Amino acid sequence: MGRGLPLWSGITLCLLLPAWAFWSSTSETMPGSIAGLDAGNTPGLLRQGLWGSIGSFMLIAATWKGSRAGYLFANRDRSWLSTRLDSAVGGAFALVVGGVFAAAIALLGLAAGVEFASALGPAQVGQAFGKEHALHGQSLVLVSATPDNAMEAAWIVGDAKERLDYVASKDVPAPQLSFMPTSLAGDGPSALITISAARIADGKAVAEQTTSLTVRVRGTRRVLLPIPEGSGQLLITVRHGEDGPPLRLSGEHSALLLPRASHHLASLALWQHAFLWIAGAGAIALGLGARLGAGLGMSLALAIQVAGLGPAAGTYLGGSVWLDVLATAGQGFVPSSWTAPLVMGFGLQVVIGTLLLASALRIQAGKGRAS
Amino acid sequence: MSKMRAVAVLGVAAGLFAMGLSQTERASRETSSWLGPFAPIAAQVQWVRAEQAIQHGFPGRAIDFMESAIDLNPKSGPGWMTLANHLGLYLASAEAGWTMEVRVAWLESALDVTHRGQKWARHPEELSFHRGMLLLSHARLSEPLEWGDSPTALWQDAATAFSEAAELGHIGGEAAQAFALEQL
Repeated sequence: MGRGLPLWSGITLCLLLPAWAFWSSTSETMPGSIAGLDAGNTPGLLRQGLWGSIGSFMLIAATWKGSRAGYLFANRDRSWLSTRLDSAVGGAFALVVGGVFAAAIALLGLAAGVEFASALGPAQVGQAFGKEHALHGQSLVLVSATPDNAMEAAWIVGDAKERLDYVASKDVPAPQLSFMPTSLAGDGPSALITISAARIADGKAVAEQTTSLTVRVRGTRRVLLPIPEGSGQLLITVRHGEDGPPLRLSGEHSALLLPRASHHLASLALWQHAFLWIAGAGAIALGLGARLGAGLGMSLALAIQVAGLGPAAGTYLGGSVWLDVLATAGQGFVPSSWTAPLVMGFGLQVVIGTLLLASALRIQAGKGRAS
Repeated sequence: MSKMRAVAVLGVAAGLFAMGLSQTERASRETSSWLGPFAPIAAQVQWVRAEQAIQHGFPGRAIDFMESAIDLNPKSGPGWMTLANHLGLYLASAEAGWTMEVRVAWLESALDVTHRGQKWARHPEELSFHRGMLLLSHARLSEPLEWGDSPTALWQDAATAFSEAAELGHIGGEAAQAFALEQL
């Protein structure tokens, strides 16, 4: 079997990959939808699809391999363990770290493959931008032409890391603010919207440090507004034209975009998040597999990751963050990097996995000595 | 690897390949995502997140999640209906706090969603019927929306939507149309 495996795996992959591409191919998108806006962004959608689908397979594979390896390591040869394992925690940690490295290398291979695939297709044009964070304002911003409704909406945006600061230069592209106004009339009548960003000094907007643009919106449209030169907080103002249907601004798509060197950095960011997600799941699967058996260990490890798709646990386990990161890549932007809670969650899974594995090793080593 | 196993692997791979080819035409109109069979699963996750956003008081974020779920799985009729309900019942309600003009715009937005969904969903007649139900829900209020030129415009438009549903084969379309016409 050993010699034939690479050949047959290769043939299988050669047949599966085109099938996947055909299955997922698209020639038409919904007018007025966000997917419709992103339809021209083939490399971004390709990255999203390949990372999303193969990443899901890899999560399942990592939990299965992890739980099986943990089970075998702790149970296969008790007498060997009892004589050679001085420190159960050390041995368990070595195995967990090995698993983490294996996941990192496998995901690097995936990143290289995805970028190679995206390089073969149509090139992604324009300046690369990283989507840093949503502009924390109201959940639903709505502007309307009628006098008794809000014609104007405004909020102040600050950034503790001073990423909103910008000094104009020929070599450095300006950071942008991204908005996605949507007409409540769908593809019916259009309406004008004016979006302005002004620096604030002494509590007032500075006219000289203001950028503004007016666009007509029918359906949904993505709008990018350069950040005005200067530093400090920004006053964002959204004003409706004199007629036309009300317009709403999507909170999810109101974001700060920072210039990046290359679109290919998207896969690096996706690798970072996939690594924390999959390697963390694999680490905990090692411990659970050692204690509970391969099947139950894998099931429980996957259940933990499903729980991680929720907003609270997802901040630490990475599932819900992974979905957001994939969506950002699909829009053609470079997702943001690791966050502290994600790294903490990963570390916690490694520690728990190691301790579970070590406890299983101790139990089995004890049995080995006894027998 | 034994010959039998090799043939089995090749057979399964060839089967998947053929299935992929047969899906090409249909899939080209289903989704713009490259997530393949994972797309409906990802859509389900987005629906759960939308529900959580509503419960935590973020109706705008809920719309984003719902639209994302529909982009992932546009053939799901209930998905289109849920988004239409959020816009046409929740946001267009008096309790949401908007003025009459904006409430009317939210309902128009919901009706637009049902129209768009008809081109994608497996059962377009259900969306047509649902459009009638949205209009009817507002028509039956003690203080109905200021809709169209006459006070009975909501009932009239509901009857039109039910008639369209009946033409598309909805089992309750005719009865609902008759009921709406009785109110005129």
